[in-house]
Amino acid sequence: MIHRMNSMNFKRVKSVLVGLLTVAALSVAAPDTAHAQQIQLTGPLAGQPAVRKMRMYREGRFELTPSLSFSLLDQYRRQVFLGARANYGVLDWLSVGVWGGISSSLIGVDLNTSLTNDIQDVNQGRTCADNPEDLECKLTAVNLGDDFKNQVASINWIIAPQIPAVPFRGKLGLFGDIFVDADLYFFAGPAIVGIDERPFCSGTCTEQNTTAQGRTVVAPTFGLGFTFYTGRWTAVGAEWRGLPFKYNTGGFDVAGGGADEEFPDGNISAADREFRFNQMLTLNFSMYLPMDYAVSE
Amino acid sequence: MKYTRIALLAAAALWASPMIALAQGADGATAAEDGGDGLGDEEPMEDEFGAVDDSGSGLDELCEIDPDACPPGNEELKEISEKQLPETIKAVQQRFILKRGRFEFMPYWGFTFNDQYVGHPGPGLGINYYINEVMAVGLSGQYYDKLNTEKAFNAQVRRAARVGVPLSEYAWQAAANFTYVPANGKFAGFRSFIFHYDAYVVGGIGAISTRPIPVIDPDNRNFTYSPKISFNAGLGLKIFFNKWFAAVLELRDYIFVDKLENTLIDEDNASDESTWTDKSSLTNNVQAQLGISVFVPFSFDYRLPKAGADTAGGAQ
Repeated sequence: MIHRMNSMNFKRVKSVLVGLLTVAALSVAAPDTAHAQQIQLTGPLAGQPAVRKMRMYREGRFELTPSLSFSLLDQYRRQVFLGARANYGVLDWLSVGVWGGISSSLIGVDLNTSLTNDIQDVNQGRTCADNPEDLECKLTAVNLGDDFKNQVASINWIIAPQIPAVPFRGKLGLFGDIFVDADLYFFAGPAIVGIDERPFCSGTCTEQNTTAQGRTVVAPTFGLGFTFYTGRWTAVGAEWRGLPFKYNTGGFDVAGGGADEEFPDGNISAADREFRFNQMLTLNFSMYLPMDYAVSE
Repeated sequence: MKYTRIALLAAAALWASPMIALAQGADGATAAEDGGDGLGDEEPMEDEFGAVDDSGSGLDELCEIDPDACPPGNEELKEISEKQLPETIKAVQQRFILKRGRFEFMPYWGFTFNDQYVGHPGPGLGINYYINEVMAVGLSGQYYDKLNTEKAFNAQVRRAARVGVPLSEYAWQAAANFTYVPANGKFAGFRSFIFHYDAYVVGGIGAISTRPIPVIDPDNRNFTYSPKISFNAGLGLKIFFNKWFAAVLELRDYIFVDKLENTLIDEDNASDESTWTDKSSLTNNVQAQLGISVFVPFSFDYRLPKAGADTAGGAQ
């Protein structure tokens, strides 16, 4: 029966794929009507480049960008980063720069998820300090200290030297009335990340070593964003950033024992650090110096 | 042929004039053309694309480029090139794509954007009808059943902290939507090719069918799907490859009140369904939706021909 269902599903998936491929093939191969009236330039404009007299917003200019970033898909603790980006435009499409930020956790504002609050409430209700022989307390002794919030990991600060490239630039018309220059950029580089994470312990993990402690991580970071130029030296923008690295977000013992070390081993160790694809959305306000830009040929 | 050339030069001169005025009084009035809607040249963006200074016709510069088109004493050409321009020149002279009266078929794949416990990926389809160039009404639907993916993270939490987190999975959702397209523009890629895009907002009302995943008492509880009223709102970006085919990236939030599994077990009535759920929760299912857009009919008519160039075969 299962085999039959899998076969049916496979046929359905195959049908959908064939349909999608057909549409894609038609879109590429079929000569659409619009091509019949493509502009045929025969005069002095024939062969001219797509863009002339382009405003060079970045080349030879310094950019300073205060930013506000919001983490996504957090398991136990969200972060809001107050940050800033500094770039220098080596070319109009290529810059060198650095982005850095400090998080809400670093300044003492922990934005815990509802899961963290739930675990905190349940754990406090168990009063394990007074009932160490309680079954739930015994089963969670390695994983939960008296105050669960103290063992949850935080990303405290990030410094990321990066290379932004701007392959796409153009214009945006809004409501047919407001027009701004815009560009789409990509960036990549290494990031140095300061985190708080539950320290390793083996044997009896006491209250003392359930409290998260500082650690520095080096990880790749990359992303893309839009910039909308509101004036000769100002712009607003939004970007998405990925920052993948391994850490133990909840301070739990989840691995290190059993087959392939996929089961708890009673210790908090490097095996309990799991790969997390950390993501954040950032809102930017950019200022450029010198305050005027050059114009291309 | 001669008149075509003259007209082309004249139109180019008219197009070039505001660029001269806005380029800090600089020379070099060659207008760039990209086969689109007049957004190709960068400089007219200055000063909101608007102010036109007719202090120069640009004819001299054009004649330098193509001396054959400017025989001495050609007053006709001079007269045309010095013709008064309208007060403003729209940044989008001619839309790359006309949508009014066309249907849009939008198959997509949805990815969960905000649920760290259960992934809700799945295929969907949107169908829109454009009542004018910027507004559309339509229907959309998505399939989830059999594709929900519970993350290993849930089991880890249950094992490590002995805390069960109520989880939900979805079967399908359907909605009636209204779309508004306030923004459109174009990008030059690597300064060598150009593509058009638009950005839209969408909102609607519909239903989503959900059920709890039995986590607290899986031995006794077996939930069935039930539909809930769902509201949705989203933002999207559409990148056009031609006049009827585009790629679509959309972020849509489906908002509904979900019924969650009861975290307590009534030991005396564990098989009583009325004890299986307790509280309701306002749920935001935020999805990234990646898909394609096909406009039907494939062709359309421009009301007016594009100024400044020959259009072989005319608009169809």
